[in-house]
Amino acid sequence: MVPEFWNEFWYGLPVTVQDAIWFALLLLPATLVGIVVVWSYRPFSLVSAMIWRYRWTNALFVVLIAISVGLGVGLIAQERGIRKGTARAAEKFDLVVTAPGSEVQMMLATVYLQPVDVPLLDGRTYDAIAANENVALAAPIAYGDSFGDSSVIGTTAAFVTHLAGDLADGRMFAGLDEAVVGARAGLDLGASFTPAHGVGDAAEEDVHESVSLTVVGRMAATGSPWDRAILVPVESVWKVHGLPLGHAPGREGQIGPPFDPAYFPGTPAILVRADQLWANYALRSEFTTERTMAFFPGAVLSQLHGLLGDVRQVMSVMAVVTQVLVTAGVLAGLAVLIRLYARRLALLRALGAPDRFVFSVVWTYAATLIGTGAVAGIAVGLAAVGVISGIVTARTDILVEATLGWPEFDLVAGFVSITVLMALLPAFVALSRDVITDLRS
Amino acid sequence: MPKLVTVLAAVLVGFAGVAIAHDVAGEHGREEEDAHHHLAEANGVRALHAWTRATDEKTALVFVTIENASGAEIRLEGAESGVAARAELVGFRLKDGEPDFARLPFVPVKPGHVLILQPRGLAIRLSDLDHPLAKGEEIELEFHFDSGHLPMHVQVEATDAAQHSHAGHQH
Repeated sequence: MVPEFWNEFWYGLPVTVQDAIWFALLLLPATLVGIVVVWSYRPFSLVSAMIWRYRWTNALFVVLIAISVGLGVGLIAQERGIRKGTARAAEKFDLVVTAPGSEVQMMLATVYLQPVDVPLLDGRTYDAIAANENVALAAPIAYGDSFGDSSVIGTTAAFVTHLAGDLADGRMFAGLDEAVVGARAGLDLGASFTPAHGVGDAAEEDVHESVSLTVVGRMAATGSPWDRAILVPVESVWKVHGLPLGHAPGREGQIGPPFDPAYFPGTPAILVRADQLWANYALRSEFTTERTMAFFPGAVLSQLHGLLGDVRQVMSVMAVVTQVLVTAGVLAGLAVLIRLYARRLALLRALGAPDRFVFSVVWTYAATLIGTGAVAGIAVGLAAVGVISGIVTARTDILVEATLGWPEFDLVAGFVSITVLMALLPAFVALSRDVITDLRS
Repeated sequence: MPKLVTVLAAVLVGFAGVAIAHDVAGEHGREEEDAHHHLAEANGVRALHAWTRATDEKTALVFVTIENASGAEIRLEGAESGVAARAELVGFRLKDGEPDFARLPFVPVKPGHVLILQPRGLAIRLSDLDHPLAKGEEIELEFHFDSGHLPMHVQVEATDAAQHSHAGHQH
């Protein structure tokens, strides 16, 4: 059992300090071994001469170590970056109400714009949600149409502001034939387009051919698939499909809420936001009924992340296994490299250099290659996550900003410690060689 | 002789009947006892299947299903337990991509509605547990509603449990 005072002390420390202590502890074995091995000797100038003598061979070893370490840390950092990126994309979707079905499917449709055919929520349901005292925002999210690779989503101006804040360019839609585009949608301000019915390969281009919508504004980047979306008034989506416009006769020109339940054609999903977290839970309880399903996209996503957690562990194990294999390779290589220096080392010993000095020279030489490779590996890792994050962001529209953090530095520290400890073996092997034989070789 | 056989058969059937009746009554009694173990009710508020996960950490999350049949809106405000220094109502959220729980002052439940405390949702967080919780153990906890307190047993399930082992039973 851990003593109580220790728990209080440890958990009272700032997280960064805890991380730094872990990192230092993982590096401690390497540091201690280094101090003991080189104590009272100065092998560094000799070691630098050795490294320079066979610089290309040594550089190759450093590159091998760097690539191995870089891939290991890059893999772990990338997984964390994707997890955070997908979570950030879901941040604005506090509570979503849809018809009963699969929460995962509805989350993918609403948050990540992977539309599915689902039953619509009627006007009575929307009205009950919008009129609830705890609801600060109730926005219909009507998907199903597209233009090119952009989904066309019917919603309200309040949702656009909630999603991306003030517009980056232009103004908010104010008419049935106006649209606001996401930051990465391929339409300029003033451009006109005709939405297709459906999305992807199943989209029917000519169904809405009499419709022309004009882009009047551009949202700021959100780091989510909504950056590629085209947002229009929900009334526009209803009009395009020949449905009532959500408002009673005489108010057909109105854009946005309040909607008249009798003229509300339906919406696949409603985004609900309350000002307080507790109110979101109350709303969820209230709107979980036979006709409606209320869910937190963040919680569903976390469940998926939980499943991926197993994959993360597998990836971490793979990274460690890779490091161990590289360590074994490095040690085997070092044993070969030491043979290159065998004659010189034998000369040193013949001239009267103490065994411990020779030992410290060999170990310092190995530790220098390992340390340099590990540091270069961090640079390789940084470059790798930058490239992979860019590819993932371009392909998914989910902004992935992977950076190296303490877990990666801990992995590198652990790798360095284990490897330099194992580097004691080639140093012992070097000492066990016969001086006379090596001098004659 | 046939008469003796008939009497013997009647006696055996009688014993068997008594034994079966006893078993059935015993089973029914156990079920009832079990049901009472997993259900608490007061002022029209029912709490069903309270459970937590086995842990040797200092905190644990308690989950339960609360049905409001009181005819009025109620508020779940928190809880208390003899095994923890603190018991508070918390709500799940993703904070910078990582799971996080925020303390909540209360959550209202409308009449006729059900409030489910479940993993990645609402929970009662027990802090500073006075002993590790082992699977199969039961702890006592008192839910705090604005309408009064509701004491009940909390079943300790496996470390990786996702629901109460009796989930689905309509006690």
